[in-house]
Amino acid sequence: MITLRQLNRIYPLKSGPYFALRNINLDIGEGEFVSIMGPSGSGKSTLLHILGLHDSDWEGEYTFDDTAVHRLGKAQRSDLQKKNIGFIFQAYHLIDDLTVAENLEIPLSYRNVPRKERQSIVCDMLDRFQIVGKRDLFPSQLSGGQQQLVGVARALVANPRLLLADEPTGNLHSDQGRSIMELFRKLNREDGVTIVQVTHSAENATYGTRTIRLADGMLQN
Amino acid sequence: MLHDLRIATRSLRRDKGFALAAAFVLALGIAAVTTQYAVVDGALLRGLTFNDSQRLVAVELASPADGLSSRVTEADFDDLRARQTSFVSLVGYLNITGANVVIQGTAQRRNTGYISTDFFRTLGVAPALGRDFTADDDRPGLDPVVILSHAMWQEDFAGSPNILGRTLRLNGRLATVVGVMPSGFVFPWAEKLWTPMHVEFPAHPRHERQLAVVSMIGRLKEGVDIATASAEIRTLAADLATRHPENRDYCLGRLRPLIETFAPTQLAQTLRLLMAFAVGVLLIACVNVALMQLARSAARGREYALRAALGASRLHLLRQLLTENLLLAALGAIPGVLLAQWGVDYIDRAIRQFSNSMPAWMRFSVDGSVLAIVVAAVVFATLLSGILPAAIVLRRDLATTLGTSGRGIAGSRSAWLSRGLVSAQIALTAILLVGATLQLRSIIRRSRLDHGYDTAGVYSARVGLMAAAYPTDAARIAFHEQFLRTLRTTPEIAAAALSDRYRMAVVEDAPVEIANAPGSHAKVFFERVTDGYFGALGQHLVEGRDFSANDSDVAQPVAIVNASFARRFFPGRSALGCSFRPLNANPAIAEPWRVVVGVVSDVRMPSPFDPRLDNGGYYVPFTATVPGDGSPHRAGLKFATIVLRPRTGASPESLEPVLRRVVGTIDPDTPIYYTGTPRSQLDGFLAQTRLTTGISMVVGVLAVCLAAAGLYGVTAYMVDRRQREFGIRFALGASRRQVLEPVLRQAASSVGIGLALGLPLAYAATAAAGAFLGDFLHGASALDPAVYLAVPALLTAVAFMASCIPARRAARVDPMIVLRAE
Repeated sequence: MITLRQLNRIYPLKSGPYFALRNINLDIGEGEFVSIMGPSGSGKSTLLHILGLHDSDWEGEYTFDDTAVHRLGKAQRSDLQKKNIGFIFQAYHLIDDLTVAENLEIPLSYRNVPRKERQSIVCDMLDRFQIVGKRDLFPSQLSGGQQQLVGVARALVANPRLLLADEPTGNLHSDQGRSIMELFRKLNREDGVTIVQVTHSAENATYGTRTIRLADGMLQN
Repeated sequence: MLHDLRIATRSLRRDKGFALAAAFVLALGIAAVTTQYAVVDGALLRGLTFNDSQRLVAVELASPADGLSSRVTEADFDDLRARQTSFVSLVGYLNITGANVVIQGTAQRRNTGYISTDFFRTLGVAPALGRDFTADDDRPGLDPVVILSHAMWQEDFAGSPNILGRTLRLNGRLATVVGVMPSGFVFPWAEKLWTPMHVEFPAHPRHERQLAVVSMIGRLKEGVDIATASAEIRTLAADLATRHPENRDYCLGRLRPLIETFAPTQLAQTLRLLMAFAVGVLLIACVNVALMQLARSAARGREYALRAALGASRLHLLRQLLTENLLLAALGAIPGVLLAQWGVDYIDRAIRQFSNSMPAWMRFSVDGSVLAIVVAAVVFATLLSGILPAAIVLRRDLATTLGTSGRGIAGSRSAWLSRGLVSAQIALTAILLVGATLQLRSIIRRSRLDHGYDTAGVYSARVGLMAAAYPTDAARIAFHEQFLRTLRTTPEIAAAALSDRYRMAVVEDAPVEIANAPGSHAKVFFERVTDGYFGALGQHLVEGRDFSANDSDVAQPVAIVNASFARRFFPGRSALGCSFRPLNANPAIAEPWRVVVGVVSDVRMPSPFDPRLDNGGYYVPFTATVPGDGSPHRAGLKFATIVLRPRTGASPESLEPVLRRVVGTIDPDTPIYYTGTPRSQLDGFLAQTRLTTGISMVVGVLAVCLAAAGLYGVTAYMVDRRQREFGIRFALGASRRQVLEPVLRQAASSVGIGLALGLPLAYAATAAAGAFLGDFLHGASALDPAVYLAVPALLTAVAFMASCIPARRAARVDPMIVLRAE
C-alpha cells in the first residue's frame, strides 16, 4: 500500500540543515497495523504527517497504491488524502464550537457528500460508536475518552483505507486507552483498515502487527 | 488610583502596537468631535460678548405666508421706534453692507454699516476715540459722518492720532471721521466703518419697493421679559398692517434672541447635523477600540483570572481595565486636540473666503469650553470602549479560564459581541456615508444646473450709484447710458448690457395679473434689463423683438417674457400682444398693463439654491418702475450688474481691467465689485455648502477607514483565535477555498447585518433631515437609488478587502505547525 524510498525531511536552520527524517525506506502493506516508536524528537510524528499528506516539503519517493505521491500536485494529493486517509490526534482536536454530530460531518462535507447522505452516515457512525446520546453535546461537555472516541469516529466517517493515529491514547487514562486500542484492533481485523500509530507505549504497540523504531530521524533495524 | 495608573502605563508600554493603534483611532474620533464642537460653539453657543447681551433681541416683522421671513422698511422702523415702550432703545442697521469709499485717490467698495442713532449705546460699546453718532447726524441731506473700525484706522490712516475731523469721500460726498471703535470690535458683519443710515438711505413710502431693509435690535428694559415685549410688538405690527396695506404680508411681530439672527435655523441645523456626524465618528472609533480590547482580552484573560484568584474584587479589576482605557483616551486626546486645532483653523479660514458667509466676530477656536468637551469625549471614549470588554473579561468563569491555556478564553460571547460591534460600526458608517453622499449628489446637482446660457462665457460686475453722487433718477440713467455707450465702443467688448440681477444669481419675484384672466395672481420672477442683454448673455429670441433704447414706461409699458412664462400663461397661442401687470403691494396703486413684445428662450430665473421652483419669468426695460407709484416715469436704479461678452478668442476675465478703465473714465469715485464670470458668482453662493459637504465627506471617509480597520481587526482576531480549528479542518481534508469561504462569509454576514440596519436608518435620518433642512437634499430624493447602491457597494468592497488579508492568512495555516504546537 505504502512505499517510501530515500525519504528525507529537512528543516533549514540558521546553524545548517536539520534532518528530521533521514533516508527513510519503508513498506506498509494493506491490512497491516504498524506501530511507530521512538524517543521524543525522533521524527515519529513527522513521518506520520508525511504519510497523512499534511506535509509536502520532503524529498524522496512516496508511493501510495502504485500512485507516485512525489509526482502529484497539491490538489491531487488532497484528493488522494480525502479518498484514503483518516487521521487521529493525541489532543483529539475536535472543533470546540461544533457539536459531536457536526464534528463528524466535517470530513464528509469536504468530500462533497450530499447533506442527506452525510446525515445518514453520521447517524450510522454515532450508532456504531454508541454515542448517539452525545450527538448534540459540545466537545467541552465530553470526557477525554469520549472526545477521543469522537476523534476516531471522525477519522473513520469517510471510510478511509488507512488510519493514521498520533499517540491516540497519550491524553487518556489506561482504561480509556485500552478501549481505544481494542477498537483499533477490531477495525484492523474486522474491517481491514490499515493502521499506522505513533506511540510511546510498549503495551499499545502490542496491539499492532509490526513495530518500527525511529531514532534521530532514522529507521532502526 | 496612582497604582492603577502605573500598572496601566506598564501594560500599554508592553503592548506598544495596540496602544498606538488605539490612541490613533481615538485621536481621530476626538479630533472630529472637538473640531465640530468648536464650530458649533463659535456659531451657536458662545453668543454675543456685549454687556448683558441676553437682553438684546432681534425685532422682526415676519410673513406667515413666506416662511416667517422678515422685512422692515425704514418707515416701519421709525414708526415702531417711536411707539414701543418695552425697550430701553430700539435700533437698526441696513442690509446694505457696502459703500463707495475713495482713499488716497482709489475708489473701493468697503464693508460699511448703515446704522441708526444709539446703535453702539444699545449694544453697550462706545468709540475708543472721538464720539458716538447723535440724532443730529442721522438726517437725510446732511454731509455724512463716519466712525472707523480700529483696523481701518490702522490700515488706511496708519493709526494717525489726528484722525478725528479728517475727511474721506463716502458715496460721492465728503464724510468726516468722528470716532474710532475699539480694537477687535466688528458688528454686525465685517464692517470697516459705520455711518448713520438715513443720510444715505432716507425712508421711502412703503409702497416703493426698496433694496434697503432694516434689521432691528432692541435692548429690553429692566423688568420686561421677552414674552411681554413680544406681545407689544405683535400688537404694533398688527396695527401697522391695518394702517398700511403694504404691510399685510409682514403682519406678524416677533422677537428672537439676537444671536439667532446670525445663526439662521438652516445653518444651525446643518451644524448640528455635522456635529451628529462627528459624534458618529467618535462612536465608531470607540467601537474600534472596544474591538481591539476584546481581542486583547483573549490574551489577558488568564492574567485577570489570576488576579481574581489572588483576591482582586471585580470592582478593582474593572477600575484597572478602565484606567487603561482612560490612559488610552488621554493619549488619543493630545494628537486629537492638535488635529482639531488645525481643522478649526482651516474651517475658520475657508469659511471667511466666502463673502458675507458669517460675521467677522464669530470666531471658531479651541478654547476653554471646547477643551471641556475634549474631557467629556475622553470620559465618553473611556467608558464606551472599555466597559464591554471589561464586562466580558470579568464575567468569565475563573476555573475555566485558569484551566485553559488561553485558547478557550475568547469565548463565543466575545466573538458574538465582536461581530455585533462590527455590524453596529458598519451601520453607523452606512448612515454617515449615505448622508455625505446625498449631500455630495446635491452639490453636484446644483453645480450642474442648466442656467440656459454659458455662465463661463461672459463677465459680470456690480456697480452702485450712491445717493449723494447720483441723487436723481435722471443722474443715474445718464450714468448708465454713458456707461453702456462707452462699453459698446470699446474694442475688447463684443456686447454689453445691464441688469438688476444680483451677482447674476438672484432676481426679485412678485405676483402678476394676466389680462382677461382675473384672479390669476401667480408669483413669478422678473428682471430689469437693457437692450442687448439677451444677445450678450446668449439668450435667443423665440418670437417678437428685443427691447430698444426707446422702450420706456412713460411711452408704453412693455415686457418680454420667457418661454416658460409664455407656455404657462398663454398656452397654445402667441404671447405677443398679450398683456399682464405686476400687482402693487398697495392695492390703491394700479400698475400699468404691460404688453408682451417678445418671447426669449429660458435661462434660469430662480436662484441656484432651489431647482424645484418654476422658471416662469419676465423682463422689463431697465428704467421701468416695478412696482411703481402710480405715475409712470423712467427710474434710475442704484445698483446694476454689468454683463460683458468678450470678442471671440478672448477670455471673459481679460475684461476686468478694461471695465475698471471704462468706469474710471466716467466716474473715478465709483468702484466696481462682485467681479467675475457668472459661473464664479454662482460658485461663491455654493461655496459654503461645498465646505460642509467637504467636511461630511471627510467624516464619511474617516468612518469608512475606521470601519475597515475594525473589520480587519475582528477578522484577524478571529483568524488568530481559530488557527487550531483551521489546522484541524485542513488535516481533515478541507481545501483552501473551504477554509477561506467561511471566514469571508462571517465578515460578509457582519457587513450584511450592518447594512440591513444602517441603510433604513440612513433613509429615515436623511428623510428627516431633508424635511427640516431643505438645503440638505435640495430636491434630491432621500431614497436616491444611486446612493443606496453605491454606499453598500463601497462598504462591501472595502469590507472584502479588509477581511481578505486575514482570511488569506487563515487559508495559509499549516496544520503541521498548528496542531503540533498544541
